[in-house]
Amino acid sequence: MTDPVLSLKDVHLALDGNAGRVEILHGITLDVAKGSSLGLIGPSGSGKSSLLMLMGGLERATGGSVTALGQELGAMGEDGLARFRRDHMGVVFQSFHLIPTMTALENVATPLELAGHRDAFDRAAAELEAVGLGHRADHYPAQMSGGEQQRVALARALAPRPAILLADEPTGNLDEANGGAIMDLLFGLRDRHGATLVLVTHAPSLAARCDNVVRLRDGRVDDVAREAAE
Amino acid sequence: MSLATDTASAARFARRELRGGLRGFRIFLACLALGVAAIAGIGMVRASIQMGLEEKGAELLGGDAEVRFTYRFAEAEERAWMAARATKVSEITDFRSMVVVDGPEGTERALTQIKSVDTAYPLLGAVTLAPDMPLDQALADHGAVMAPVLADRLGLEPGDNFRLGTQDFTLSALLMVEPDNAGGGFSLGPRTLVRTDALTDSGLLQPGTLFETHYRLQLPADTNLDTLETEARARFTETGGRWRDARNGAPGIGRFVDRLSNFLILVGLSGLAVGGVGVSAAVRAYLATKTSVIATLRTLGATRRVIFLTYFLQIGVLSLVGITIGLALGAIVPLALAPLLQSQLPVPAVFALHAQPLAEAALYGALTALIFTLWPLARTEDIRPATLFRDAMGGARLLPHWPYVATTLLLTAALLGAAALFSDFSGSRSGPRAGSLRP
Repeated sequence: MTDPVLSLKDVHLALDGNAGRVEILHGITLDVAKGSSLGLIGPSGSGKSSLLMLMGGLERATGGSVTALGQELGAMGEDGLARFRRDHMGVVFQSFHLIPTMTALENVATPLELAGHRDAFDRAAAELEAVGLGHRADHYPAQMSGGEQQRVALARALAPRPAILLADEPTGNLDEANGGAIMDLLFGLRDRHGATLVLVTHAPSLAARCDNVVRLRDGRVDDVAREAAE
Repeated sequence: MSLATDTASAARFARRELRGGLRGFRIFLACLALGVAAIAGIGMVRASIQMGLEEKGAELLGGDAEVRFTYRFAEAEERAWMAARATKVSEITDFRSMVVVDGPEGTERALTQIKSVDTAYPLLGAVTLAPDMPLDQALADHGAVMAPVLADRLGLEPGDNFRLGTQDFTLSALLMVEPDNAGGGFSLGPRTLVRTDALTDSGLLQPGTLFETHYRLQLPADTNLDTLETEARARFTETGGRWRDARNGAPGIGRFVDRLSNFLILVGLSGLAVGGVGVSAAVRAYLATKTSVIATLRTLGATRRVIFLTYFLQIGVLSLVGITIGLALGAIVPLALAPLLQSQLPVPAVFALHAQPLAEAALYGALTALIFTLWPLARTEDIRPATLFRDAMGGARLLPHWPYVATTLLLTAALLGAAALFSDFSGSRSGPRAGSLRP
């Protein structure tokens, strides 16, 4: 494998809760090659989303190291991580997480504005066109369907041309038809932009569209899936 | 990214967030607006009274200037000094005595503050009597006028007789308005007004009796009060004469108004502080609804500074709205109630828009809003992107980072300092002011 875009070595994650300390991930080690796609599958509570959040610097590992584009995420401060995500990562959530007081166009333009792009709105408009929502640019999230909201979220994640695209069950809140359309868009746009994709999903059929698949169980990588990934 | 770039981004995000409307901010606005309105209103009334005292200083004093002696009349040389500098001089005596009324059921006595005047009185303003008649007519032939409350206490009506010392007087009318009464200072009894000549045989103005004499001066329009005051103080210091002029015609009232206003502003500030707790709670509640948005912005690459500025600007705009509403209320209510207030106040007041009390109230409001919103706003730093998929607020600290604590302490000190400065400054406004008699 060439230099991996994402590299996790013996990563542990433990969280303190009301019931005490809970071990979420136990010594995860895996690499993701540049331009490849990786599907993370496993039952609920297996640690898929937590692993994705660690890759995006949205969560901090309590042990081991997470490296993205050659940079150790654990060594960065909160603002450093925010800038790193702004410049190199796009994130798509199951619940869309669009900002309700912003129009579709403004939602897509937000990461570009944060990066200081003067043509933020032109690029955002083009990205909305690419997901087939150019005509809904001035609409607020509450005025759009779930499928449309997820397409806006996808446009927002891809607008800054990130090297890494992280998607956490992007079809989880959509019906089959809309889910299929979103996945077609996701893979199509990813292929066009050449981003490395990490996709969390419950659906084996979606995971099968990825170059590699890792199955998690109880916070550990399943051996069979590891072979598939490597 | 520079502070300017971050501020520009934050301003755009704040403007978009404000599209959500004022829902959830009614308590915030009410607390701030009412506190500012109370302080602005009190300040407006105080400024109106101060302006009234300034504009009517000569009328309150009863002349452009006054030289006062205790237990004696002015000597011939002193009278000559005053006559040389004034276009008109009026001599008044003021002292306490008993009004005695002999009736069929015995003798009634009541304490009164007697003012005996010459024919030049009053130099400024007008005496109002009931029944209406000229003062000269009322005081002629041992005539006298007295305050209605005193006449009522003694059961006297116009035409009835009473005695001051050993001299009989006839009550000609009731004294309804005495133009120079507010500047007279402390008084133990209601007023009785007579001619000084009529007291000659009363035995009340003898060597050894307690009385004060006031020489009211009407001065030429181009008189420089600073120069004349310096001259008068040099002339009368050794002989016990005291100087007062129209620039500060009623210093006792001015001080009283200042002290009362300062107390009421302190009450207003306390109210604003209590309202500040509501302001703080409203901001906390609002930010709690914005956790998801903040976490999303953090995910998209917003730094803590951009997030803080986004909500700081929002709260700043809403604070400006609250302060503006408060200033409008504080300015309009006293103006709307001006006729009622003027009829109830015992001193003159000029009700108009006064900039300084409004600026003071705005400053208090802004400082209070900052003090009570800074800590809730600082908590935006604790909101992490992981909040989007699980409760990641558990590790939030009790106190914000030290710069916020230090800034809050500095702002609190600034608020207290401003309150002390303004109350001291308003007190100093009651003191003598320099300048010519008339521009």
